[in-house]
Amino acid sequence: MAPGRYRWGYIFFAAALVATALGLFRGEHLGVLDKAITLCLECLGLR
Amino acid sequence: MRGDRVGGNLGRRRRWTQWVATLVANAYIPGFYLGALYRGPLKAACIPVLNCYSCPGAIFSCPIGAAQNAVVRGYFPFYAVGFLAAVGAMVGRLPCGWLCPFGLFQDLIGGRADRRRRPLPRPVAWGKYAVLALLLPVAALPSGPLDIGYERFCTYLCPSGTLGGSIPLLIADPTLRTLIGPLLAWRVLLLAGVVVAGAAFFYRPFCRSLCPLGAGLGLMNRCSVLGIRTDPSACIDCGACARACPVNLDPVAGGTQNGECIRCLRCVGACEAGALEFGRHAMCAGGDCR
Repeated sequence: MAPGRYRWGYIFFAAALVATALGLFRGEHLGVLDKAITLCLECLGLR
Repeated sequence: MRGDRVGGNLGRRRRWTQWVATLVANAYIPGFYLGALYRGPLKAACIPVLNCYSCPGAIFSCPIGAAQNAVVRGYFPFYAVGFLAAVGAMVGRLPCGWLCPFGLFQDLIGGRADRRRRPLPRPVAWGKYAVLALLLPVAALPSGPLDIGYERFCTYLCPSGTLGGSIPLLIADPTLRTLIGPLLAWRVLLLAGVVVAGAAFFYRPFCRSLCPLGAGLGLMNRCSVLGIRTDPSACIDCGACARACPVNLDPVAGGTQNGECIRCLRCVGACEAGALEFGRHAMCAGGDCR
């Protein structure tokens, strides 16, 4: 078993995977795709 | 055997890894001469490095931009934050040291790391945590009359976007040049002043002072599953690891768990006694590894 504080690494990792899966389930990756394929002039400092 | 030469094979392997990661992250080569973005399905995937998704070569997405955009759209970014936290919980800031294209850029422009080992003032180093803490709340603020856009880190601060996105697109697409204004001037000033000029004096000035991605991953350095293990019984107190560290940490004194450690592993390469090793903490015999 992981000693001391490193146990938290496993716990955080598991929690983060759950959050990622939740995000995927909610379709957030489609929002990321939608944003990332559109030229964002503001993000480029061009407006 | 100092600076970039520390570690021999490990140092060369790291530089090769940085180049491969940069090329893979920006593999859409036609984008650079067409001035167009890659629009394939891979763009839905985040990668744990600061590589602007508005870079014409980018085939993946930046989790910092994705997280801000989710807030702008009105929901909490479970996907982007969860992904970043998962990477951090597994390897801490390892992607900063080994994968980040913007980290590679700073490594290349600054020359040998041992000439830039000046300690960064603590308030400056805390800047990246402030940027991380404000990233999502500020993205949620309504836009004012003098304000443009909502992904405000991308709009006002991110030099990776200026280098990888604005400049290549302006070169490739003449019509965009009519949009050049004070905001781009500010961003170029930030890139030139903080990153390029700063790199002459400090190792990786942007990563250490303003990068929210590095701050987020660094928070996990202390407890990440994989990390730099120290074996006190093998340490001969020669101090080679501390002298090799480009961010002025002492690995034997717990510096490898510090959020400033970018896990470049120079210390591992510099340790001739074999007291430092990158691996899974749980493998430490007796659970007393630090």
